[in-house]
Amino acid sequence: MRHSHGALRMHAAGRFVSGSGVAVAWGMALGLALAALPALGVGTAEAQTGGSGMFAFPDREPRVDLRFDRYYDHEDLTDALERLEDAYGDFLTVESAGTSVEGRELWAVTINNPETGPHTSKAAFYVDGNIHGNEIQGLEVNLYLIWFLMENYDHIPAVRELVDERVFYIIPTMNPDGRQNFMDTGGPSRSGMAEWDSDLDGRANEDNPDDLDGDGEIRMMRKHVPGRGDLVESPVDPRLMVEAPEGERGDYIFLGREAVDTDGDGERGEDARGGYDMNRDFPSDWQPSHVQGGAYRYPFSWPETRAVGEWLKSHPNIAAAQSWHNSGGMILYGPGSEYYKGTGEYSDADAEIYEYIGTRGELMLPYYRYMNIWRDLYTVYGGTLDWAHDALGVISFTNELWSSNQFYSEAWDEDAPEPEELQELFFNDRLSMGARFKDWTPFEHPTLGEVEIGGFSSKWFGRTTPPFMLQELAHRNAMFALFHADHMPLLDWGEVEVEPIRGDTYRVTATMRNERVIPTRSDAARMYRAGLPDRVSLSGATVQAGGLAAGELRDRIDLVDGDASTLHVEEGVPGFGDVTVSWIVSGSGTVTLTYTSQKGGTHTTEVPLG
Amino acid sequence: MVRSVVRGRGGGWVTWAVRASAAALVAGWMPAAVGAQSADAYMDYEALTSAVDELADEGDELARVSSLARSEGGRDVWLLTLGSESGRALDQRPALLVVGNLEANRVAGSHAVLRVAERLLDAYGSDDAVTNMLDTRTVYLIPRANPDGAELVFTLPSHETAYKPYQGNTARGGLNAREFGRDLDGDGLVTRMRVRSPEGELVEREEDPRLLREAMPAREEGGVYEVMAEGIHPDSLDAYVPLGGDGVNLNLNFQHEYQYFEPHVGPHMVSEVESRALVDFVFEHPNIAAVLTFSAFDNLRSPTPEDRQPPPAVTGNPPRVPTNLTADDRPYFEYVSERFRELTGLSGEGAPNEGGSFPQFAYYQMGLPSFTTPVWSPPAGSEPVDARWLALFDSVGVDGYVDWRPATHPQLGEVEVGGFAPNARVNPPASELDGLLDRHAEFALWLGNRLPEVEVVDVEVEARGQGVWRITATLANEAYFPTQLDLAERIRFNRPINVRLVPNDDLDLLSDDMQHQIPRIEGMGGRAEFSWLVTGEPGVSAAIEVFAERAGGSITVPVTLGGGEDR
Repeated sequence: MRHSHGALRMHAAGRFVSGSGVAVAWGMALGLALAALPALGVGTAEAQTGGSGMFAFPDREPRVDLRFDRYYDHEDLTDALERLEDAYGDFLTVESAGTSVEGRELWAVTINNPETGPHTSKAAFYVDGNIHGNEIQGLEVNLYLIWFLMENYDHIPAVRELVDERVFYIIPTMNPDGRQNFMDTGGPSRSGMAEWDSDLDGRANEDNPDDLDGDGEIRMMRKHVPGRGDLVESPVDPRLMVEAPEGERGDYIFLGREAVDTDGDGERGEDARGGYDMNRDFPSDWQPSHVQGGAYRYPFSWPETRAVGEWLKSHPNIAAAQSWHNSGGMILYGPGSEYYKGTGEYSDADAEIYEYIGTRGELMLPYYRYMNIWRDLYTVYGGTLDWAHDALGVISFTNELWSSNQFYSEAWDEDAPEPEELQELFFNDRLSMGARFKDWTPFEHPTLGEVEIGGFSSKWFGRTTPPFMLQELAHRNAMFALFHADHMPLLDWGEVEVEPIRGDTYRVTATMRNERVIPTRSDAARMYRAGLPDRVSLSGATVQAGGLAAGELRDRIDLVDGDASTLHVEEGVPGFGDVTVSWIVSGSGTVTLTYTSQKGGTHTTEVPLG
Repeated sequence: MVRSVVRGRGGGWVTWAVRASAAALVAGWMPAAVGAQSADAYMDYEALTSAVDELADEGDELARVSSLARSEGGRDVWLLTLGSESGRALDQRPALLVVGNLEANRVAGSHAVLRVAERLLDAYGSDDAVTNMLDTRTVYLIPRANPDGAELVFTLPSHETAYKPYQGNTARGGLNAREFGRDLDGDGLVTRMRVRSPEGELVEREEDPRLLREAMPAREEGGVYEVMAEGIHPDSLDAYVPLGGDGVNLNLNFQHEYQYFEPHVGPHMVSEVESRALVDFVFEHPNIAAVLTFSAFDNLRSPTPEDRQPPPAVTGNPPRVPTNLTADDRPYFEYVSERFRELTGLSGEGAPNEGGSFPQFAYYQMGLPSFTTPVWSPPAGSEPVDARWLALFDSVGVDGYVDWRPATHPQLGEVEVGGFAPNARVNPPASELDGLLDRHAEFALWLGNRLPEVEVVDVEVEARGQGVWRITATLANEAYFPTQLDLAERIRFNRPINVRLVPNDDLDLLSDDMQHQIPRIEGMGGRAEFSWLVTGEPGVSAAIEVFAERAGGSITVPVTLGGGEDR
């Protein structure tokens, strides 16, 4: 029998209520902690009272000195991972999961303590980020996560437990090309950098926007056309452009992004590199580009997504996953479409798992909301998340990192006599000390004549966390990931009873407990046959019959046909619950019970007969 | 003259042949060499490879062979490219893509594709339609899209399976579904079992006791038989087949109306090296203007019905995903189906619910005129389809049905084994094969000559005085198909017709429209005009560039101001 103890049933406030008397240490502790007030540390109840503190410690020099008030380009990342591998080679390996369109390695970091078993033998947490080239913070969060686990292994008991009991697979950036393009030029860089015929004239990338003034960013162009334009300088701040008053002509026009008409077709910068969306490239609920822009030929069309897909497929021990995007401050869960399976919903049981973790994440992440993709944001077909959920049986979140509400003051909004852009200029001037706005600067354009280049930065404005706030963002989100990771199935044998029946025939009854919220087999995994079911076997005696324990008292057996020495547990061990199996066996001496779960590891126990 | 390499020469079914030779074999798992007679009727991988090479050799400058992909089993997916060396480059001509044998056991499709090659190579230079097709069109032929799967047809005991075997990925666990099949009676064929059972709900059909029908309890009639596959019942451990672990039907592995998580569709859409190679090929050859697939599905013997519904497993599509031909495209499909029936004399009731099939991908996701037919299929009729198959067998004098006969089952005891011989309803007998191949090749020739072709039929240079000129180019498509179907206009990767006047140092464009784009030019004499206002001295030259990816590729036409370069 599979018992969930009602542990997942939550009332409206999302608070955990234990539905049975069975002690479930972590769930109980967390429930009580939440009832009192949020305790946002990671790990077990023990860790919460461990007293070590939460951050890397001011009184301790890190072994690998990394800064988290800056952004890393590909070379910087490679260097940082090398240093981490040098320092923590016992736990940490860096491999290439594949190669990007432009030839950059997709670094994949495995964190595992080999002394507690090979990485494939333990439940694993998978993290990626930056699939959209301009959504860059994911890399820094991932780097922080790796660094935090390694630097604190010897100092924080909860970290030690996570590293000893679990495995982490981390791909810091899935789109190093788009990232590099963004760091070189800013602007719209969601895509990868493959050739792409944006204007459908049969030639790809023949007219890219250019960083004409060579300042490291492609910005806006305006032209002064006195009395012939549609815009004027704002009377409040001349750096801002506003529409000319009703009935009057303006003095300026906008000329779009910095570009020349390279192909001479009368349009500037109309065919840049890229133009696709790799988070529409996964094989669940996939739709082609005429249904949803951004998709390409078929799922896994791109070397980057194919590499990540292969990585995920080849690690069936992955039980939970996290992707980092930006922005808006969201903890997103699937499904991505209202038409998903005709219902727009995951099963109730799976939805409860997401809610349990996501609503607690809201507490750990001020300004973030726990939201459904299609209902609360927009429809996504073929995103990473649905595929991980459906076809891999993996509980998977996507965080939209960074809410600009964290940057602005709420006080401003209450009166706000000036337009929003003025507010932004104020913060640019006084908090960013000018870093986010470039004053309009004259430039001699080859065909447009005298223009001015300037305006708000697309690199350091809006989506991108200001560097001075980056470490907090990295820490909070990395700790949310660890909270999620901590809730991967954690199995332990419960009661194992031997009851004599007659002669040397016995009934062996054993319970396997899961002390965390994520089951070893999600509903989706079971329904869509993702991976293998759990198996439990008995050896060392002749098995006469066996099956899952049945009945309210678990005193009957739901017998299986044929050889019962190995039983399938199709539904796995539920979250905060257990599963009980019974065998009728004949023999003497000691029998060995082995529970094998792709996402819960392998667990063996021995019990004497008689 | 190209010698026929795909003509059937034997006297019976593949399965017939296998049955005849099976007596000498131990029943069970014997990866037997292909029986001599079956090799006569159909080609295994080795024979197919030789046939492809032979066609490429004898086709000389008209034919080239290359490998589209290498299967997990180490076999090549061969591509034959036909077209004469005179005229436009092959990738700049409108192309017909012909694909066969996506489903593992549809080896007749391979023969049908190769017969197209023979038909064209034989008559080049002597038959005007053939000569025209090879001079102005490109023909891409993929005779065997599923070489690993096809090999199962030549393996004993004979199964009827459309599935490519999976290659022992241990992570998938469980057993291959094929392994449940057992040849109980040792006749070399894995067919069906019928068992007299109190739980049976079937009775023999009055008109033909070989076939069974549902009993009618409301008419005081109880059931007698249960029918199941000839094989063993897996125990509970082996019965679990993880996602993707059950063998893939390649023709259910494509993107449109993919039936997620259903049996035999693969672990995900376009998961297989062969299906990926096919889609990549279509994307990378935007000159492909129509697709003909020999498959289990059909829209030629009978056009797609107006009330077609997606398969029930397709639940996640938003309403804007088309589920049927658009109203503008339907007349083309209906007309082509009509001509197919006239040219081949074949009819049938069609098989339109092709969720995840390649022909469906070609229309719904690429906007291509896409046709498919199974080569071998009974005519339409009011009888149940099984009865029509038996009637077809009778009419051509071949026995494709194994009469029920007693056998002993290790789990069930006494049973009867019989039913349709494996693949009898999939591949025609050798006696019928040749004629069917000829008829389908004739249709392919008809279709290929109807691919759209854009030409620049007129360039007019009108002097407006003061060194100002208006240049007008007229494009025409005299062929049957429009340059794009209606649905294709919605599809991002299909480029419209691009027409550019390329200025130079001596010729300036006055109007702001160097480049024009229009979605399509209709067929049967459709016209489109484009004009530019320019300035330059008389005698100055420029070029008009046309790009029509499915209808002639890139065309450059010179134009001279006042120079009388009108065409």
